[in-house]
Amino acid sequence: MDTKLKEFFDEEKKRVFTPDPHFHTRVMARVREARAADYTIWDAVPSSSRPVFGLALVLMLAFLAVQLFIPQIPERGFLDALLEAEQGPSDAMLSSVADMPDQEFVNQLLGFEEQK
Amino acid sequence: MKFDRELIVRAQGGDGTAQESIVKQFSPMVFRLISRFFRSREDVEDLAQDVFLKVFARIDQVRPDENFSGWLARVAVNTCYDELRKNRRRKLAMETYGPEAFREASVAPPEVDSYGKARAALESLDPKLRIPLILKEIEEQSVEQIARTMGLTQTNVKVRLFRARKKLAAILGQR
Repeated sequence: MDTKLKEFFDEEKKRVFTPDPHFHTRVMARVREARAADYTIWDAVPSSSRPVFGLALVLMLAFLAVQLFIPQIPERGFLDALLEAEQGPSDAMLSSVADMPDQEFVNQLLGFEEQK
Repeated sequence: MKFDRELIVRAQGGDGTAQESIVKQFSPMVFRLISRFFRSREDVEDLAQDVFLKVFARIDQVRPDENFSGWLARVAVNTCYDELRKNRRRKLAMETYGPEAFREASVAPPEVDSYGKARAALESLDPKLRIPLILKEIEEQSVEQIARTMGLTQTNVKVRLFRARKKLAAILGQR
């Protein structure tokens, strides 16, 4: 190897920086800072109860998803809902199931109609 | 070694005193290693801090019976490698797209002392070649140690050393 290059490498061996007496304090301050930044709600839960906490969280989210995404069965149909707004009280009486005449009375009425 | 082992086990458990002891015990070694690749004290200090932050973030990966100083040296060299690559990319970008003044300055670096040429030649080497050469010639590490530190095979280290010397000779011959 070139003598000049060898001399340069020997010179470089002498060039060394050493840490000042407070270096470790600065490092530890950064370590604490990094640790505080990484702290999440998960770290607040003791490690023994993490599986239980996790399972409860999953079940709760699943229940919420079911509530939100699966629609409830409607109490009335689409046509009922549509017509209801336009029905007056007399019209409502016609379609009302509560005030329906019994079958015998209906048959009598139908008999009158046929006789005519 | 036994002391190191206990210290590492305690540091893995999050003991701040043990972590501080590790910094105190190993920081001269980390500083020496980084000094081989960077010339300003500020750069060396910043990188040494980064090395210890990485070490404590990954301390769970260390097996207490493993050679801790070897693992630490590997983290330090990898950190230097990343930084050298970043600097090289930045310099190339500046030379290509930067202002004219910077382009001219980087073409002819000023020689501050009698070793200016050798220093400039060494600094112009790709970090892949520069790191093994520095570890061999300045740190006086064996090929086996370099291979372990850089995570390479011994053959790969030998090839890189050969190429680094050849390239260095070519650069110095041109000037």
